[in-house]
Amino acid sequence: MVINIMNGALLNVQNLSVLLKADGAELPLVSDVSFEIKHSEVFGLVGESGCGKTLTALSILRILPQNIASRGKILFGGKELLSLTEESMRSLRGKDIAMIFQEPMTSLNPVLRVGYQLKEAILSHSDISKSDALARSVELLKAVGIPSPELRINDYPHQLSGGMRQRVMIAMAISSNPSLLIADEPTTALDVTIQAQILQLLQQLKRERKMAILFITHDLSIISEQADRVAIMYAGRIIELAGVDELFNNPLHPYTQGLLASLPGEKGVLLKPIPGFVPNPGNLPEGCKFAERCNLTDKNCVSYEPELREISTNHYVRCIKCQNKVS
Amino acid sequence: MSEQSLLRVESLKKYFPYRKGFGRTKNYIRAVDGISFDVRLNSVFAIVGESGSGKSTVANLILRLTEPTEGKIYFKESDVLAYRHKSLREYRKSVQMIFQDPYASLNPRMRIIDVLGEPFKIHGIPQNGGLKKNVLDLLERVGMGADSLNKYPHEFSGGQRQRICIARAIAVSPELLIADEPLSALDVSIQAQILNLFHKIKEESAISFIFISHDLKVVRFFSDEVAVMYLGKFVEQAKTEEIFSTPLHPYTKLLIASAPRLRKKQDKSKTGILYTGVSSHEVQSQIAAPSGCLFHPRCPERIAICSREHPQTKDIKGRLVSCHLF
Repeated sequence: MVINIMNGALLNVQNLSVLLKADGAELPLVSDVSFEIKHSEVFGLVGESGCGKTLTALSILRILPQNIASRGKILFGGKELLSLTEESMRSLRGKDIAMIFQEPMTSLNPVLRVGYQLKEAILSHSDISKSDALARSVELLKAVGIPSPELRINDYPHQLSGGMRQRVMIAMAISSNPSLLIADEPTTALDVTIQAQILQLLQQLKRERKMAILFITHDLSIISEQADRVAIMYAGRIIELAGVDELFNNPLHPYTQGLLASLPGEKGVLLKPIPGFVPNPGNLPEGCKFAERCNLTDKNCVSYEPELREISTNHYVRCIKCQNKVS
Repeated sequence: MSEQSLLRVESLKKYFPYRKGFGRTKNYIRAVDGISFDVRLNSVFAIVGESGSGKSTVANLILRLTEPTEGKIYFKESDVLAYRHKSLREYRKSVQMIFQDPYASLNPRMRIIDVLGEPFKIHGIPQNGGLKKNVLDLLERVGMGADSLNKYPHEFSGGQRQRICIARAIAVSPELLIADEPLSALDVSIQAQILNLFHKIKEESAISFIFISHDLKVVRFFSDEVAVMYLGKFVEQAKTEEIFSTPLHPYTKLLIASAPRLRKKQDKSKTGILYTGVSSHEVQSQIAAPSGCLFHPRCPERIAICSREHPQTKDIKGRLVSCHLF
């Protein structure tokens, strides 16, 4: 399955699979994942825990643990990332593609001042003097909305609140003007009012800096507000991919529909949860991975795995029950 | 009103002492600072607030896992703080707790039959038909099968573990269930299963709930009354529909405006109007609590008096609000 490569794609992931190597065998955790991210768009990757969202992101930066390998092609700026040498990968990582993580406390070094850590990030990718780097750090902290940044650069991470730490992480990530920012559950550890501030900041930075964002989250509401296009993942596969309005107004895959029906709405109206639970990656069913939780399942569903097909223009679904609307 | 009240809390306070640096002066963190509320029979009382607001301390105080600094707790008009040994055990049978993390709240070395059999043994409940039958009944009520009996907690997913925790809590037929963020460790599709299960238990056995959560969607779905907590105090308390349709306190408004909503309609201006009124300030810490109203540094509607005086709680048409604007 290959999705048409449109001109102007910034990142193009083709048939990515991620494999866990154990006891001489390879256990696939992510299979046949293909998508592209255009310049300055927000691409949302949504799914429940263990569906392979983060593994996909880590594959792009090639920072997977040693016992996990990725196959396929990842094209970025005319280069194929998976076959790049470690050296050229290192010069790209953090410079052209930057990443922010869920837990801002564990991502910062607790014994170094935030100014020093920011300066270090800047110096590793540009050839400027230390005092210029320091001045730039102050500018960056200001850009991410930290009050009195010239004082805050002397703080240690523990002196900052969770929201402030995430702002520092974002400052570090945008320090070299990356064209792609990977944000992996960037607000999950934050309180709801702080979450709103960080989401607002990401939107603002995206507009100002024309930066594309790969936004990974489990929260459908957040993605409906933030993303331009969305891919829904289940058991290591993309099961539906469409523009954000199309996806939320016209969800086609039974899993997507089930997720939306699981959100609490009117008081007292019982929810329609998806029955059962996510299968273990070592024990996936033969055909459609969602078949055993789906109420449309018939014998064809369990006999072979469906492909991700274009059902209507730019709306892709991995389900044989979906009728083709493309002529 | 008090006839139908199951649990009543009156100006409950819990101050935790701490020392600054090497100083000798003792300071206090006012984790819970004078809150009062009623949990009515067969109703759901929700407490919402951000981390550090003192929600969980309230739960611990009600169960007497920590002793309050001041205040009163009445369960069916009898003084909970006077309970000792036997009466305390009896009380804890009537009031059960479900915790946030189903991975941490089950003993990894106990099989499910032992986990669920323990409450019967501890409270000496007569077992008609044997312990095994009781446990099987429980499992069935929470939607699990007999094949779970001899398994260990690690063999279950998060949602199943939370079901086991719920089964354990309802084993002794409690009258009040305190659920402290029972859904936040679970995935969306599993959250819906557990929410439905809570709903079913409430309908079947007329249990009342204290439901602690930061997720407004869930609170709106499940609760009858809501208290909004900020730095140890209730800033607003009202019926669920009222809070969500016409929030009065600026903090309640901020919380509701901040919660992400599922956007279905094409909305070109979405980035422009998103989160209007979201203040750029952070949650204040208990240690550096501001003077006057605790919320005033973040409040978009503050007036001169807010930084000087703490507002009294006022009754506005049956709703309790503590804000100088009212």
